[in-house]
Amino acid sequence: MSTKRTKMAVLMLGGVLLVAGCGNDKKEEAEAIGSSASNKLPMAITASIYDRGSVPTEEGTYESNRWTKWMNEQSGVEVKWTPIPRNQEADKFNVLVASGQAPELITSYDRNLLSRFVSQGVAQPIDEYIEKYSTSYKEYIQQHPELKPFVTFNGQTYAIASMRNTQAATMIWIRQDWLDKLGLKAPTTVDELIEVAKAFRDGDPDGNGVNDTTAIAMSNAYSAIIDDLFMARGGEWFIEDGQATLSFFTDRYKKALTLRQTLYSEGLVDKEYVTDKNWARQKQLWITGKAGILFDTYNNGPSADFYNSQPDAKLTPLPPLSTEFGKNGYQKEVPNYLLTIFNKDMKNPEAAMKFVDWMLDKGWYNLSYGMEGTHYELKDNVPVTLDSDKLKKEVSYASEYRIVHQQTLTPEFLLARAGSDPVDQMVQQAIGEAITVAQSTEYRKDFPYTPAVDAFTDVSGQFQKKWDEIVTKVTMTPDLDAEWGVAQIRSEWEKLDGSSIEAKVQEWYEQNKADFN
Amino acid sequence: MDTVARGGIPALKRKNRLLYHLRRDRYLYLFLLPALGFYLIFKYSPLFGEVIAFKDFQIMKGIWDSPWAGLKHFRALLSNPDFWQVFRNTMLLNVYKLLFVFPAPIVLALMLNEVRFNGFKRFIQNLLYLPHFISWVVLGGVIVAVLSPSTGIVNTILEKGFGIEPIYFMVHAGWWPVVFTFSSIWQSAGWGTILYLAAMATIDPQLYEAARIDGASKLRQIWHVTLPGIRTTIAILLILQMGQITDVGFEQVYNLQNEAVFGVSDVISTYVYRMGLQAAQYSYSTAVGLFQGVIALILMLTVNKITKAMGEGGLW
Repeated sequence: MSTKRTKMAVLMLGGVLLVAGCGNDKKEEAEAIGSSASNKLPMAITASIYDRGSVPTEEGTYESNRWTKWMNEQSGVEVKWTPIPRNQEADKFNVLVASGQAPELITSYDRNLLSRFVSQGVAQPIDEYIEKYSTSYKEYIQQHPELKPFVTFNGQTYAIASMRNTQAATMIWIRQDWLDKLGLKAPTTVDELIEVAKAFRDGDPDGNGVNDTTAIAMSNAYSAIIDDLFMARGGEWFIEDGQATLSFFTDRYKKALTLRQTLYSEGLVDKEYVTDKNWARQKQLWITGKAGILFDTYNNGPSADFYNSQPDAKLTPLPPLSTEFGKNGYQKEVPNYLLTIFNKDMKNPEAAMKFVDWMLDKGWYNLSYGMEGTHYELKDNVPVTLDSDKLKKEVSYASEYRIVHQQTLTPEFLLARAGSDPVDQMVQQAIGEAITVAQSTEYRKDFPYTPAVDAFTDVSGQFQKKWDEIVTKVTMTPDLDAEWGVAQIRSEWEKLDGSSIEAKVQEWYEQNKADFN
Repeated sequence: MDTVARGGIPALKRKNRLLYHLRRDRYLYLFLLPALGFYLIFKYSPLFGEVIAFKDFQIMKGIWDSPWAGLKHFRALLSNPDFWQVFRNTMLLNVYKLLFVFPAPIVLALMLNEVRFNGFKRFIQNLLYLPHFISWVVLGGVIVAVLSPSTGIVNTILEKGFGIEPIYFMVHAGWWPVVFTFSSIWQSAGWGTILYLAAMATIDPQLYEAARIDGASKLRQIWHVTLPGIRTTIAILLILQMGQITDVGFEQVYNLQNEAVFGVSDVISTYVYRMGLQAAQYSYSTAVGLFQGVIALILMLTVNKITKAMGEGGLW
């Protein structure tokens, strides 16, 4: 029995070792490939890429698709991409950084996040690399001094950035055909907006004989637009009588909060928006013609889906509305596009700079418009779309890879670019109008970017959760009013030692205001 | 076999005897190595990281070189009103779970056990197991849709059948915990029956025969034969459940909560996620996690003691 047992044990032990051995081999193999690759191709970098889940399955993944291959071939730099879920960038980046796996190029719209990485020593200054390795970007940044404050952290250049293609951002869209049908004029004030919304709710503008119209469809821009109407964007700082003040503690914010409450209690917005986590219901309301007003962005109201489902629709971007405090324009984006910082452990900064230069010179063009002959043809130097469906499927996700670009969106360009497809022409026409509307009125922004005050950055996440909750409560509860809401927000702010943060922000403002323009 | 070995070498000291056993059964002990390795690598070595709860962890310095902070983070969390709210929510939701979700699989298993037609029983079992395999992301979406005040089936039934005004369950601070509890039952009760059914299968059929001869009805048989038969299983599962009382699964809460009910739905796991991963306060959130673990351990030991005092075996 003993020998039998021993034999069995040895056999099984062999099995265990075999399994373990396989595991080791695989790991070594992978390492070997990795090292040999970097020996043969010293021009290699790793970079982050926002994952918006928009790469079609047939096209591959964010790590590998026709465009990643194309970039590797064309730029001469082998880039390994790390996808970062767009709406979870903070946690994904934090985990990658804390575990030492952060990519060499860290790209984000969130200057605060990058600012924290800079102060934690994750990133390195890049003045020297630009000087030594770059030609195109070096020239570009000299021609665009307005980018300087955004790429500078603690007095040194830490980030790469190019200009945005447009500074238009938020937009209120309205169905002109519905206005015409009910004999209404486009609203010019917030009160008129409420009246029009009520008429849409009750007047059966879609003419289906059923009282099933929700006046206003939302998106993630809804809160911003409501607050911006009153120049009091939630959580942002304003200068009131020379004092740095949070938006909540201005009289204007109370009005914004009251407007939210009115729109909700009157049933002018979807009563169930709170559980509509990715705004799917709102999109459905809009596209199926159950809503006549959309609070969204300049390029998200008109779409092929919308016009295909609502062939008779006429869409107009609504010019900025007035309130008792005056007229505020739509949000104007910061001048810079994505910010990219260099990881301290970057192996080959030369490759990174070479990639940036290539992207700025050539790469961005095809990543925006596709391939000549396949996706576009040049007419008067404008890349005219050949097939908008094909472009959407094969190219639209590629624009995400442009860490820098030289694209400028103007109404004329958009319209010229639209192909022969009448729907595409309508879409581009409307987006062009929205850009014009967005540029028409000044947007109040007292601080060009969030004050770089650690005490504020540390608590802003916790604080936001509190005021989100309070704002939602006031919106949905008719018995509560804006006074109550603001008092609650004030008490939460004080719990976070708000007064001393205010003093620090004030100090930061005094030191930096000379740089604001 | 054991007694033979012991009889053969009576004079050996305890330590030597251990060595002797190790050497004699060395091949058998080798089998244990992979499992031991698993626990060492994946369960024990990460415990070392808990040390950052007592440090001011800075990413670039790493765990060792970050400066010590003593009990700073624990003091911070004990004086933080947010933490106590989160702690209270966690405990409350778990008490509901203990009261309503824990007995659910027992009742289900008792009912399944009485089903005599095997094909039907398997069919029902499979239906019951199904939600266990669906992720909370999907279940969350289903629950929101089912409970929608305008289009959800629950409100339609309430309105058409009973004339009750539609209720927006998901944003109501009073209803949300109920939704949470019911969704837990829906998701886990079916799967939970497996252990109980296995325990019931080991009950000697003669006991039922004897009960029937004595004229016991079905209910009496359940009460006097089946339930005592699975008593030990219930006790052990109860102790294990207590070990999780400070822990509400992240996925379930995260996918069911919304801004309107943060006040009752924010729990330790979502709090740690927010503070640790999103706000990058690594040391503080580790302190929260450690605190939670210690409370859970104390509770589990207490219940284990009580169960033993009641005459059950307990965990050890």
